[in-house]
Amino acid sequence: MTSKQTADLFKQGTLELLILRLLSSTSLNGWDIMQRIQLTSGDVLSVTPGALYPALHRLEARGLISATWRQSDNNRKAKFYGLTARGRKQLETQRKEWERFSAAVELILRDA
Amino acid sequence: MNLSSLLRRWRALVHKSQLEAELDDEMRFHLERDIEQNIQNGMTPADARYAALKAFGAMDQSKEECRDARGVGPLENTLRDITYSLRVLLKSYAFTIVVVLTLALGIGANTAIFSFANGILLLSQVLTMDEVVARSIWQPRLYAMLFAVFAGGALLLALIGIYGVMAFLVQTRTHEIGVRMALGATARDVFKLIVGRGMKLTIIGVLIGVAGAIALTRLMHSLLFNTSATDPITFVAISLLLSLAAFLACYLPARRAAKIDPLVALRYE
Repeated sequence: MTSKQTADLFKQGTLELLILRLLSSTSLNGWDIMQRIQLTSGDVLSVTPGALYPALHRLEARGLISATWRQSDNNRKAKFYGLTARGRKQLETQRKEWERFSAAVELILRDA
Repeated sequence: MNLSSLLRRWRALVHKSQLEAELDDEMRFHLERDIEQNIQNGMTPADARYAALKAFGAMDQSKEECRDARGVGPLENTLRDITYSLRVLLKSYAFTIVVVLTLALGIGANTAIFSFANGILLLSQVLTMDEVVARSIWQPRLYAMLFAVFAGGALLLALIGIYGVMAFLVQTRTHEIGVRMALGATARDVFKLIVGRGMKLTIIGVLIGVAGAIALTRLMHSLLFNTSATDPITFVAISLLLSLAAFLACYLPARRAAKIDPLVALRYE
């Protein structure tokens, strides 16, 4: 595996984790998810629709999130995604993995 | 794969148009929401629209990736390929009839003749010496040899027929292949297209040929001994042999098709 592929996989995994986390408190549509990632990260992180929607459909296909159509706040029908029970479990696992990973990186950065 | 994801895939396959519409709606909602926000931020409607489209990027590619995520891509593509080739075949009766008849004749004649030769040349030798001496078999043997020669000839003719037809097919579709390659089909895709078409025709030909051969071998039943007129091993072996031969006959034209330069092909009339 080349370093570029690793970086892509890493990014994809991170995006999934972020989506799962955002959906854990409330169900959101794609546009909301994009806004929240950008706002909550203080404009540091941003995701393009070209990356977000395929990721959402993949998560839906894996049964981690489920979608319903309902009215959005601008009075138009939008596809809202919410976490399934399996998604909630997956969020816990991925979150722990992420914490372990970042703690390890942190250790090396501080003490090496 | 669990049940719910199977159900989702099934839904994706059966309710394709509904899902396509939902995919369109989802993307459109995103764009409209972006446009609204841009207008709120003080852009003119035209600028807002332009900026939103630009921020979205390649929408068709995103949609394609969403479809792929549902995991019905290959199956759906195969179904489309099959309906397309059936439509083309139905549109050109004469061509289809010639191809299928060539194959059917080749296969029918070969099966019949090899059944006969098999019965006489191979199986009749499983006899004791006494039986061999007792039976004066030089005459049937001569027939069998003759038949074997004819069968070889028929096989060769069938091969040349298939090759000619496939080469002709590639030539008539040069322009179309050029378009496909210009739109992103790889050499492998084109190769698969040509060989796939050839093999579909072969299968139809084999089925008709086998039916014809069964009828024909019944007539020759009196000439056979120790083997039934509808010996399944012979039929399977001949069908396989001819399918293999047909594959080889498709292989060369397909390789040529895969090497077509789209630039040249697009200007080709």
